[in-house]
Amino acid sequence: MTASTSTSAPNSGSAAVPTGIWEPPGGILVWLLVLVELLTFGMGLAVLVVLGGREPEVFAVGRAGLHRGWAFINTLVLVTGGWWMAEAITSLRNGRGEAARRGILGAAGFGALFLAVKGAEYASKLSAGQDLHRDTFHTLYWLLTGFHYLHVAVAVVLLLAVRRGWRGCDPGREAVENAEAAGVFWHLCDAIWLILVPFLYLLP
Amino acid sequence: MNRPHAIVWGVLVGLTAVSFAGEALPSVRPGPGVLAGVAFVKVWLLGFRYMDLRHAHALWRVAYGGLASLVLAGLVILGR
Repeated sequence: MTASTSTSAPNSGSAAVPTGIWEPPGGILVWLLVLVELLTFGMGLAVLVVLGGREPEVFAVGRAGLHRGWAFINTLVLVTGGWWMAEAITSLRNGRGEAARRGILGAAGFGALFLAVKGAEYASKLSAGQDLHRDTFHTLYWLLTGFHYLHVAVAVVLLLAVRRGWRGCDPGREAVENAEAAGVFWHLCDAIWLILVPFLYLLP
Repeated sequence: MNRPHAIVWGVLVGLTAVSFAGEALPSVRPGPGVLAGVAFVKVWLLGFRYMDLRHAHALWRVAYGGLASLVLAGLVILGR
């Protein structure tokens, strides 16, 4: 994900932000990933809406059976994790390596908390017999949220791996770019959850 | 602590709370639309605030702005 720094430094940080067409912050691959992920989840939501129109009673009962409290807590958890991630990247660009390490650890911690809360929700649904095969709504619920769950798990591992990539106050350009890529992926997980929740939990 | 980040976090948390408060505030009728707005704000922030695409090549700014707008349009269409 590394790229040359043939460009200017428009922000106030010590690390230059590349401005070349092939050098978006974090590297081009992670932005292509953003595009693919948004399209994938977008298609999943389109299927949810179309099938929901065909089986409105099933979807209404399915939604009513979801626990909004879990979703509310997890939304706050991810939004807060996103704040920590944003702080980490800002610190990193300003050459404050230790603060960035704390920020990344905080984001990973909130990611782990999300996984724990979601795991508890999954356990309660399974114990109530609301598994993948119960009906169309639950099939889509498990597929969409399960796919997102895997993304968050990957993001947590990615953040911890990036955090191990440097020590001290001067992470260097490559570490900054790796952290930026991990940051994009983290915010993507956050954004996808915010897109999923209204359709799964809040639609009347 | 970066103050704009803290403000953005506060706004997102506030809007999230409002969107989930549908049963508590039936007269206001908040709900999925508000959280869909939060999702759009988050996608926008992802690119232009947190990840500094606003300083990237113009093509990236246009492409990402288009993608974020597409997300908003999709949310509106699917949510209707």
